[in-house]
Amino acid sequence: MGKQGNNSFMGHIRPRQIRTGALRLRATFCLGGFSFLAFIVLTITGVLLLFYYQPGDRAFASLSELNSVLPYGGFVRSLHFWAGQMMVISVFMHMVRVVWSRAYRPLRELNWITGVVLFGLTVILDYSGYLLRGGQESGAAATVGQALFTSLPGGQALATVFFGQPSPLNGSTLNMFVWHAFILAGAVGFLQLFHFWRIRRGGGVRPL
Amino acid sequence: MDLLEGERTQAPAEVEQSGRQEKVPLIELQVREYIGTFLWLGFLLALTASVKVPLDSSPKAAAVSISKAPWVFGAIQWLLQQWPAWLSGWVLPLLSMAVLFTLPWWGQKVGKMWVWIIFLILSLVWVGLTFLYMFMG
Amino acid sequence: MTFDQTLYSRRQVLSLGRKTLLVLGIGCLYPVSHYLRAKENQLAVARIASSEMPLKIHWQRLGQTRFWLRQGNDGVEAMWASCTHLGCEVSYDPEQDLWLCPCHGSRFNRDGQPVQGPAVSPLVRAEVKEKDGFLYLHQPAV
Repeated sequence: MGKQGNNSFMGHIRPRQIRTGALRLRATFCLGGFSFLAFIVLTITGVLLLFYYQPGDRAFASLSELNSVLPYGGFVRSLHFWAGQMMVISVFMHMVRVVWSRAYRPLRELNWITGVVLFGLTVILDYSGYLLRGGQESGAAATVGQALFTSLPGGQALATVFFGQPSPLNGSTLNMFVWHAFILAGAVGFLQLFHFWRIRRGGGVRPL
Repeated sequence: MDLLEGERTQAPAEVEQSGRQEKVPLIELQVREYIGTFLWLGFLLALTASVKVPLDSSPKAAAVSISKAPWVFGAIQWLLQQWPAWLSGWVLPLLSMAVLFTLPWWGQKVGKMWVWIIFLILSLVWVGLTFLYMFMG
Repeated sequence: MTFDQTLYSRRQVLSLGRKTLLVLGIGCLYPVSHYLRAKENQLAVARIASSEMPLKIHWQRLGQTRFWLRQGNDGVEAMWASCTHLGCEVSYDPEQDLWLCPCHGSRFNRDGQPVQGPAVSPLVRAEVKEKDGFLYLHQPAV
C-alpha cells in the first residue's frame, strides 16, 4: 500500500485496495479510461483552439490561417480532430464492454443511464464540431440537421436555438460554437465526474 | 436512493464470503493505467502525425457537390436515403436510445442473455449501416 | 520479500510515468507558447492607392487606422499616431497645429516633437514605400 498514494488527492478519491479481478485487461480493456483521456486531450487542444477560432463567417478563414500559418496550429487542430473521433469509438466500445460484463444491472443502473447520456452527448459533440469547421461540407451537414428539426412540430424554434442561422455553405454559427465549446462540453465533463463517483460508490469494477 | 443504500450495507458480507475477492494495492492498477496512457497517447500522436486532417471546401469557392456526411451520422444518413425523415431521423434513433436506456429493466424482464443479444443486434445494425454508408459509392 | 520487491518495481514504473508526464508537460510549454504568441510581432500594415487620397500639407488620417499622411517636401510622409508616453492614440488638431494626446495631455508640434506634457520623445514616423501605384505603410517597430 503506497503511503504516498494515501496522502495524495488521488488517494482520497480512489480506494486504497482494489479487487484482483479488476486488474485483468479483460475486465475493462481500459476503454473508459481511454475515453476520459481523450476528453482531457480534447479539453486542452480545444482551449488552445479557442484562442484563434472565430465562429460564424470567419470560421473557415480563421481555421485556414490556424492550419497553415500559426506555429503548431495544424498539429493542435489534427490532435483535436483525432482525439474526438477516438473518443466516440472508445465510448461506444466501453458501452459494449459494460453490456458484455453485465455491469448495467441494478445498483449500477443509474450509472448505465449516465453512460448512455454521455454516449449521446459525445456523438452530438462530434457532429457539432464538424459543423464548426465552416466549410461547404459543414453547411450541408447543418442543413440536414436543421431540416430534421423543422420536420417536428415546433421544431423551427429548437433549430434556431441549436443551429442559429447557418448558411448552406457554412455550418459555423455562434450558437453552434456556444453549444459545442461550453454547454455540451461542460455537461460531458460534469457527467463524467458523476460517472466516476458512481463507480466508486458502486464498489468499483467487478469482473465477470 | 434509500433502496440503494440498504443494499449497499449488505453487500460487503457477500463480498467477504466469495473467495474471488482478494484485494491488491491500488498501485497495481495505477501502473497499468500509466502504461495504458502512454500507449494511447503514442497511438494518438502517431495517428495525428501520419494522417493529415484536410480543410473542407471554402464557402467562398464555387459550390461543390457534397456526397458524404461525417461518419458519425453515416448510419442516419443511409436511413434518410431509404425512408422518410421522421422515421429515420427521429423514430429509429430515439427508439434505439430508448432500448439502451431501459437495458437494466430488460435485464430483469428477459434475462442477461437476451439483453446481450438485443444489444448486439442493435449495435451491429448501427455499426453496419455506418460502414455501409462510408464505403458506399 | 518477493512481494515487496515487486511493489518496489511497481513504484518505479509509477514514478517513471509521473516524471514522463511532467517532462511531456514542460516540453509542451515551448510549442504552446509559440502557438499562443504567434501574433505578437504583427505590425500594422496599410495600403492605399496613390491616387485615392488627396494629400495635403496638413496631416490627414487614413481611414480607421493610426496612420496619418501629409505631403512633405520629399514626398509622402506618414506618422504613426501613438503617444510616446503610454501609447494612447494621438490626433492632429489643425487649428492649434498640434498633436494632442487624450490620455495625459501630451502635446507635440506638427513634426511630432514633444512640446508639453509627460511625453519626452517625439512621435514616430511610419515607413512609406511607393510601389506599383500604391502606398504601403508599415507600423514602426519600436
